[in-house]
Order: sequence, then structure tokens, then C-alpha cells
Amino acid sequence: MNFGKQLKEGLLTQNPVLVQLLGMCSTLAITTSISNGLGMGVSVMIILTCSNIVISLLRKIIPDQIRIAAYIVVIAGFVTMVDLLLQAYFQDIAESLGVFIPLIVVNCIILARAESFASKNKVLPAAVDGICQGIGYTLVLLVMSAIREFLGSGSLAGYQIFPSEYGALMMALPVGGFLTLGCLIALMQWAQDKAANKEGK
Amino acid sequence: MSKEKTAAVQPKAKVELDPRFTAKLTLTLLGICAVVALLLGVVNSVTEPIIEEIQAEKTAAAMSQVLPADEYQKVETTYPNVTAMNKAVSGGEQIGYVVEVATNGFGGAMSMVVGVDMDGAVTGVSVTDNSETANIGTKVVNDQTVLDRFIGMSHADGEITVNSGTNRFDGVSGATVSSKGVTAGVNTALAAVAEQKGGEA
Amino acid sequence: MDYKELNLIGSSSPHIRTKDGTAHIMAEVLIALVPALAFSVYNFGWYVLTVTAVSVVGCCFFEWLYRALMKKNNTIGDCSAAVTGMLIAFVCPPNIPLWIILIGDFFAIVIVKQLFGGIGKNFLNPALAARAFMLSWASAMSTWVVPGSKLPVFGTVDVVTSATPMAYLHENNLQGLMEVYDLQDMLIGFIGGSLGEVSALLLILGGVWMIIRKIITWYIPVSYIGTVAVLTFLFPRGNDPMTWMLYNILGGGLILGAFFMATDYVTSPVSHKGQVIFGIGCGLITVFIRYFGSYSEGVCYAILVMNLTVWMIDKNIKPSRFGVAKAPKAPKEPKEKKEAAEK
Repeated sequence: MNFGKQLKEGLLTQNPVLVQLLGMCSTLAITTSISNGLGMGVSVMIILTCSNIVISLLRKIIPDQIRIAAYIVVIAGFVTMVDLLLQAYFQDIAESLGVFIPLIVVNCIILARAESFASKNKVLPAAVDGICQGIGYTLVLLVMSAIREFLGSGSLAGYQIFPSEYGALMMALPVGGFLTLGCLIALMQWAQDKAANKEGK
Repeated sequence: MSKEKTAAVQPKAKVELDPRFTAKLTLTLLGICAVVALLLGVVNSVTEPIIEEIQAEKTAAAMSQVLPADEYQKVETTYPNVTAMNKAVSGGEQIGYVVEVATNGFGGAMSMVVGVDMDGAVTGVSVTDNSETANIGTKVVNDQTVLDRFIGMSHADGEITVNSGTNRFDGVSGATVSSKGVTAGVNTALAAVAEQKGGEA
Repeated sequence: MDYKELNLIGSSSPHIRTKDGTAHIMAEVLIALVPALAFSVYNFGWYVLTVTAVSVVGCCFFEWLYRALMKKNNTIGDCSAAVTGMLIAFVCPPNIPLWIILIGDFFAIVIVKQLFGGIGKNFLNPALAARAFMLSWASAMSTWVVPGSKLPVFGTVDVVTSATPMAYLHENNLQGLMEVYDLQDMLIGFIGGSLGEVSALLLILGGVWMIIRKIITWYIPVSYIGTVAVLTFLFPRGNDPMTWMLYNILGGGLILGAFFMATDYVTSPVSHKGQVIFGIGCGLITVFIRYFGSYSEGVCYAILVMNLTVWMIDKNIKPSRFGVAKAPKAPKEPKEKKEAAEK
């Protein structure tokens, strides 16, 4: 069991957003405030972990020919459950995330992990993979939404730090999402290059 | 993808000819779907009453906010974009209408509740559901001081327009589309009430 | 194409090699901008000079800071940051708060220019990209003081504002505009607008100076302004075509954009044919935004959008190179024959 390695992959070397470039759509769209980022990240993490577990359990039962269809059914089931539960018990988050919760079904992270990891590994590693990739995703969302919320409206997690009229509106608009994501990906590449160079020496 | 998988996919033509294999595929998928559907049914049966209750509470709260009354009586209406209309009755006498309207903002559909008194003037506006951009569109739809600017406006001076004209609603700068969406909703509600009163008289 | 034409330094973007060369070009550009700046000071007051100075210093500082932090050779000596700083000031309203200018400087130099590798590597015009970002503060970026405001050195909060000529044109209110500013005002620059864009005459003078000094070629400015002229003349929206056209050319940032922004070596095509296409594209988008957009002015976005197409234009229109002139010409012949045959 190498939990540490999987965690490192999820957070850094195989980060779903910054390295695998999966789930861009929701990443760009919902990272306008920290509460949104956290809600989305945790939702994806739960769905990812559950679907990884189930798909890993079923990996010997599901025939190859219909695996994608089977994965989608499983994922869609969990997404709908999370959607309903959020609406029932976390009304505020459900409202601010809106359509992006149902859209988790087509979030590439989940299908990609099902296809490339859960369907080839035992239940425990698959569950750990779901959690680690989910943490990686959530972390990027948090960083992005913190940057965008702070620069865009001068607040952090709802606490006003400087008056919002000084905030850069562009950072709250889609432009800001692309800018922030671009900078973060560049930073990641730069850091990985640096780490690789060090190892080379 | 692994070599085994591509090997398994290749003899596709033969697979299709084997009815037992086809049956197995169908049954597996059917089984997965059935289990997922069953689980969804269970979750739905738990969450549905809660969600409905929340929605009803929200609508009730919104109705009593825009036009407080003892009782609300449902009225049939076919006016376009009006989802529901209620007579607001206080002390046995009708004091106005509460109209639920669907309108469009920057982030898609919005639903709002508009209170209109017997003189055809707005008594209050509340946005119950929206997908507006955080920190921009939400400056209109979630800010009651902005929505309260509608109070007292009527169609006596013609349609309400955003930032122009004589019957003017001062929108939020940077959130013109959201401001226009809300204004359109209020216009719809006022027109619907006018038609309703015309029909009853 | 004649090899002699390659004398024009402005014809090929990646070939700026020596520091001296770039510094010389940039110094010429700065000289060309000075008359318009001087007029702006006369028109709007001393605060204009403060804004420009802060912007130039800000850009140079961010350039120096980034290069120093990244341990790269320092490039402020080439003056390109100074030009960017000056242009950022030119595209802002005269009474812009200084902190917004500094954020714009940071965005232009660090995000748009240095993160992509510094001079010669940016794919957008830094000054215009900065302006697009600075629109975050929409109210500050759309408060236009009246001409002759005489803003003091450190600025003032109570200013008299007015609608720019572009606002009148956007509402198709040529009559109203003509009552406020006649054509002479428009040409000389006694109008409201961005800090450096008001004096069409002095900007044209600066542009002609740059063409004479072979800093830029005439292809982009002429094709850009020409396209706008033709389109506005043909579709005057019910006004007198000639007057409408002249107001459209002299108002807004068209002259500034056409001579000083669209001609940026790095973000414009290398071949003359490509430059003409680039200019026409800018003109089309400018007029489309002015006519159909919700913004009254479209020069900034037109140039930015066309910046994004430069790679495509360059890829499809290869300039003929010295010494290999025959190779690219060969495939052209059958085409010409075909055309001849069709005739």
C-alpha cells in the first residue's frame, strides 16, 4: 500500500487539473468564490471515490464492450444522489453551484479515473485514488477561487478584506478563470521542471 | 490502454453473432441500471419531501416578503412566463397579487416573486432561484436594497427600463444583463396582473 | 518582391537582435508620441504628464523586477517597456487614478509580455491587453473629462465630465456631435477622450515621422484606416457619408491604434501582404463593434482579436526571402496563368 505515492500523484505529479488537464469546464466556471470551490471540490471527491469503489468492485463483472456505458450509469447514479442530497440538506451550496452539479456526470476526471485506474485495480487502491485525486482537484479549485475571489471582489471566503469596488471585475468574469488557470498550469510546469532538473543532478 | 483490451475488442464481428454473449452484455447493463435506479429511488423518496418543503417554505417566505398577507389564494393564469399567480388576501379583503415569473439573466433562467398591490404598483421583489455570476449578477439578485428600488413602480408611466427613460430602474453597473433580466420579470408581472384584473372586472 | 524592400526594419518581427537596434527604434517611437503628449497636457492639464510618467516608470520597474527575480539579462535598456508604459497612459482616460495605471503596467509587462518570454515573444499588444484588463474598473475607465480641464499635477476628484465623440456616434447622433465639436476640433484634438488619442493631427504627424524614419511601414495604418473610411462612407447610417466618415476616423482611438498599436512588430504579420490583411481585419472589426456592439469604441478589441490571427496570416502568407526568391514564386505562376486564362 503506497498511500503516500498516490497522494503525491493526486496533489502534484498527476494533479487532475494542472497536469492531466481534466475537468476544465467546471474548474473555470465555478471558481468565483471559495465556498463554491469547496462545495464543488468535495462533491467531486465524494462522487469520484464512490464511483471508483463501485467500478473497482465490478471490474470483473463488467464486460469490456459495455464498460463506458456501465461507468456512466454508475457515475450518473452517484451524481444524482449527491445532487438530491445537496438540495435537501445543503440548499445554499446547491443553489450557488446550480447546473454544475448535474454536469459532474461528464466531468472527465471521474470517467478518466474509472477507465485508467479503478477498472484495473483492487478496491482499496481505487478508493485511495479517488480520495487523492479528489483532494488534488479540490485543492486547485480552492487556490483558484481564493485568487479570483480576493482579486475580483476583495474578499476571502466571504470576509471583505478590501472594498469590493477596488476589485478587478475581470477576475470574477470568465477571463479571470482562464488567466488564473493558465498561470497556475505554467507555475506547475515550472516547478516540475525545476524538480526534474534537481533529480537529474 | 493495455494490449489485452485491444485484443479483446478486435473480434467484434464474431461477438455480435453470438446471441448468448449479447444477452450477457444486455443483462449486465440492465442489472447495473436496475441497481442504480433502485438506489436513486430510495434516495429520492428520502429527499423529495425535504426538497419540496424547502421550496414551499422559500416560496412562502418570498411571498410574505413581497406582499405580507393572511392568506394566498391560487389564481389560474396563462400569461406567458408567469408560473403561478396568487391573490393576497388580508382580513377578508384582497390587497393585491403575488406573481411568480420566469425570466432570463446572464447565467440563464431566473425565477422571481413579485408583489403587486391593487393599484398596480410593485410592493416587493424577490429572486428565488438564479444562476447569476457570483459577485457580479448576484449584486442585483441577492441584494435586497437593489431589488427594493422597484417598490412603488408601476406601469402607469409605461414599461420600466434599465438606466434610461422616464420609468427608470437604476441597475448595477457591470451587471447590466442581470438588471435587465430582473426588470423584464417585473414588467411581466405587472402586465400579467393588469390582464388578470381586466379579466375579472 | 524586391530585396531592397527588406531594408525596412519593420518588415520582419523575429529579427530584432541587437539591443542597440531595438533601443533606437523604441526611442524613435517615443519621439513620435511626444507631440500628441504635449498637446494632451495642454488640453487636459499637468496630471496627464504625471500619469504618463508613472506609467513609464511603472513599466520599466516591473520589467526590471521580473528580469531580476528570474535572474535573466535585463532588458529595460531596449526602451520597449517605456513605449508600453507610454501607450498604456495614452489609452486611458486623462483623470485615471494612478493605482489603476500601475495595475495595468503590471498586467502588460508581467502577464502579457514577460510570462511569454519577454520582448518579441508576446502574442498580444501589451498596452491594449492591459487596457482590456483595466476595464475591470469600468467607472474609472469611462469617466471622460471635458477638453480644457486643466487637471492639476496630482489630479483632482471633482472633474467636469462629458460624452466622447464615440458615444455620440454610437447613438447615431451625428447632429448632436457636430454641435459640440466641429471637424476642426476633431482634427486638432479639442475633444474628450483617452489621454493620448485626442489629437488626430499630431498622431498622424508622429505616424508619418515613423514611416519616414522607416520605423514602420505604411501598409497597416493605411489599410486599417482605409477600411474604416470605406465602410463608414458606404454605410453612413442615414447621415451625410463624408461627414460621418471623417468623424468616425478622427474620433476615438483609430489613428493612435492604426499607427502605434497595430504596427507593433511582434504582434503584426511580417509580410506586406499579411500586413494589409491584418489592417483590413482590424478595420472590419472596429466598424462592426462601433456599429453593432455594446461598446462605443472597438479599436482596442479589433487589434487584440487580429493579434490572435497573426500566426495564421504569417503561416499562409510567406514573405519571399532573399536568395530563395525563386522557390516561393514557382507555385504562383500557374495561378497567374489561370487568371489570365479566365480573362
